[in-house]
Amino acid sequence: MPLDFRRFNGPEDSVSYTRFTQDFLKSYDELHNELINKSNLRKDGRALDEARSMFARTDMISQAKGSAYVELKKTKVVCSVFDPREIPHQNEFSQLGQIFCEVKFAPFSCSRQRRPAAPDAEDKSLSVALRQALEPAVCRHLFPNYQIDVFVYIIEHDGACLAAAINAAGLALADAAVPMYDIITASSIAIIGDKMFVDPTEEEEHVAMISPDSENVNHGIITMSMLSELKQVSDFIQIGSMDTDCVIKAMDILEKECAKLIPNIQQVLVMNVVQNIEQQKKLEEEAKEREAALNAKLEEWKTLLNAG
Amino acid sequence: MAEIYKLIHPVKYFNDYISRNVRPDGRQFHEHRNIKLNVNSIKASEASGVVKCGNTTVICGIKLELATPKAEEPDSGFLVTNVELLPLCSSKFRPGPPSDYAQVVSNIVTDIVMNSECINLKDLCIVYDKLAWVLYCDIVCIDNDGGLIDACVMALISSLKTLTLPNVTYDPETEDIKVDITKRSPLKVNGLPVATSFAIFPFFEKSILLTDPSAYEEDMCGGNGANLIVCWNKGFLCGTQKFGGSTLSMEDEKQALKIAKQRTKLVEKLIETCIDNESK
Amino acid sequence: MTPEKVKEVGKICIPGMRLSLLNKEYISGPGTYELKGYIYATLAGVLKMEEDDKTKATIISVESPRTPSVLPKTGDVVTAKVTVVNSRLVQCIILCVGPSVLVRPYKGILKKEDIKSTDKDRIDPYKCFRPGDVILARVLPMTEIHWYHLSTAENELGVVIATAAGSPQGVSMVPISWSEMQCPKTLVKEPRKVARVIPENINQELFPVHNNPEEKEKETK
Repeated sequence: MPLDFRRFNGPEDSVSYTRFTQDFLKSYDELHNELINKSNLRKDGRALDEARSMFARTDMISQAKGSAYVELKKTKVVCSVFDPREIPHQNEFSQLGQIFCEVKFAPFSCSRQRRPAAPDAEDKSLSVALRQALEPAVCRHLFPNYQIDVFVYIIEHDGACLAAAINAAGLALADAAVPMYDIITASSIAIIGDKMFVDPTEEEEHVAMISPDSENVNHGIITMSMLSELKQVSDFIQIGSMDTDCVIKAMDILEKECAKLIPNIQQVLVMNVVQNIEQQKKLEEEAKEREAALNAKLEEWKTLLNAG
Repeated sequence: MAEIYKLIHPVKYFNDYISRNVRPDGRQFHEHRNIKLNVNSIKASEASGVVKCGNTTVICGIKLELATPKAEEPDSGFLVTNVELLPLCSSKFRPGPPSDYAQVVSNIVTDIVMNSECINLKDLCIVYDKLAWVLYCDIVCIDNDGGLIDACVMALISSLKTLTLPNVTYDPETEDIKVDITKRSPLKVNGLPVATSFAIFPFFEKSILLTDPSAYEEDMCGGNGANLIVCWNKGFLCGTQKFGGSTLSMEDEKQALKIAKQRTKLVEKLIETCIDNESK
Repeated sequence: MTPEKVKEVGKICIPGMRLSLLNKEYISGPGTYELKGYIYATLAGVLKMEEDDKTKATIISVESPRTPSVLPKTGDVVTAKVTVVNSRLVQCIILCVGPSVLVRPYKGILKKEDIKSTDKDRIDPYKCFRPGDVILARVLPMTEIHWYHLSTAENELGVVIATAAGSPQGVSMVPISWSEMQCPKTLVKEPRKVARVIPENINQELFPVHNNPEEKEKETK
């Protein structure tokens, strides 16, 4: 890898210490068996079809037009949206505006290895997936020839980060008052053999991505985003190998999961509107106070001037 | 309407406030913003700290790696600190490789930590000339509303203070390395460097010192970041920088040093209380 | 937050909410879109229902508490700051569209022949604008990708705030005729394409009462 002269680099031969721990040498079967305990519960105590509760809030970043923060237990994602700007190096007239997405992992976000600071292939593929998911949701004809920037930063990665990124981006776009056709929600599922892990953790995703020794076993991850009011699927990504029945079954589950997120997101948006209106009122009052103070001062000077 | 006024008459808008001895966000000239600190909230990293100074939000995460020490310093480990200014933290930053400003910030933070000698690199060596720890400290800015370096140093130091190193056994014959994560020893941190930023605003004949400036105030005082950064560690100065802005009189400089010293005490207390609460 | 507070604000909409039927009685306004005979919201904000005087139909719109992320449209009056002046054209950055402040400035261009409506052949941009001036202009139809074409060929459009060469920042000149402005401090006269600012216009806010205190203060001293 070429040396990055713009950053401080460590020694070239450095290796994560987890490489020398005992956990590193576990076999596939061991890892697989660890995921579920005897009472059919996952490591964090959830049932197989139970999603993590989502915490979301808007208005995280003061410098951005709109921003959101989404937390699925340990997965933490922050997103900010900026006003339309010129598309660099573009010389063709386009009727529809563009959405520029950048998804980035924090260097310390993954427990397995340190992420390189420069964007890698996974960052890029997530960015493209996010853009494709958001494009059908935004009224792009309202800003022809311009692009809206959507930046997503994954502070901590514990599975389902694309779903969290899409949810955060949807909230941030609504917060930035970008016209949208519908609220966008996303959910993901990991498939290992005949088991389906709704809203998987990083460990579950990791196992789902390893090809098992025996052939023809379903495994992989599916992420789906929905525009629920319009009943449209805006993005569907399936990685791994699985049969059709399995995919269809997973889609049904994902559709329900996406719908389950709606009330939460609605509530966040309503609260956001109320807060913004209150803030506006407060600002107006402050401005009035200032104006009154200045007016009073002006009167004082006027009388002084007249007297002098 | 205030928004329009601010946009079209920036200098006058700011002067209006300064002439009334108050800053646009309602603070006094020497008042700093509220500081919030949270340690060890990111479980994927070895140690972490989240700092909020007003709106400015900075996260520091430390990752541990093992490497052979440099041939010229066989008894030292590595401490690699990088500051990343994300495009999402302000509309001024574009995606892509770090800008000049990001590199400058990175450099200042590294200088402060190195000059204050709060980490002895020799503590990071495990086996002479064979094995040493590499501490990757990545500091990312989530929201940049001024006073960036203060927040970066605070996040870095608080995460270093909570860092524990796992036990390593090295077999000199087979060169076999074994790491036992159940046994951990804390890293020794001497002192506690704290940086304080100031902006210097030229107002008629004199210049005005603004403690802990917001991004808007930094912009009004000449642009790239704070104008004056003072860093104290255990009663010693460990780095003072003055960038651009207006001229500064001797008295003002003395006052800045005094204010920074007071703030250092407060921040020290804050970090210690926070770490105490976390370890309970 | 309490539910009472939510009620106080009015009817809150979020994107994708179905607002009403689309027919002669209801028309879709800003912040909404039409689909398959219904009106839906595109913004998170407060529902507004207004009656159109002519057709007696109700216009349904959603008002966001934030400035919507929209771009200047043809026919809008914008506030812009001049950046470059040359013999053929004037370049500027657009700061506000009507009353709303843009977060990101957009580039605007003012061609020589669009500066004034009369005497088009003898216009000299140098005698109309200087870099740093704040002007009011109208948006012309868009022909280039990233430049908004502007026009000041109206009496009400042109320079509203300008600082004379050599005067300190923040001291603006006062218009003395339709083509000249004078600095109140240095008494320097400079040529400009001056806008006739009508009271009750948004521009009134640009010459606010704020201006006067310091100047007066200096005078009294």
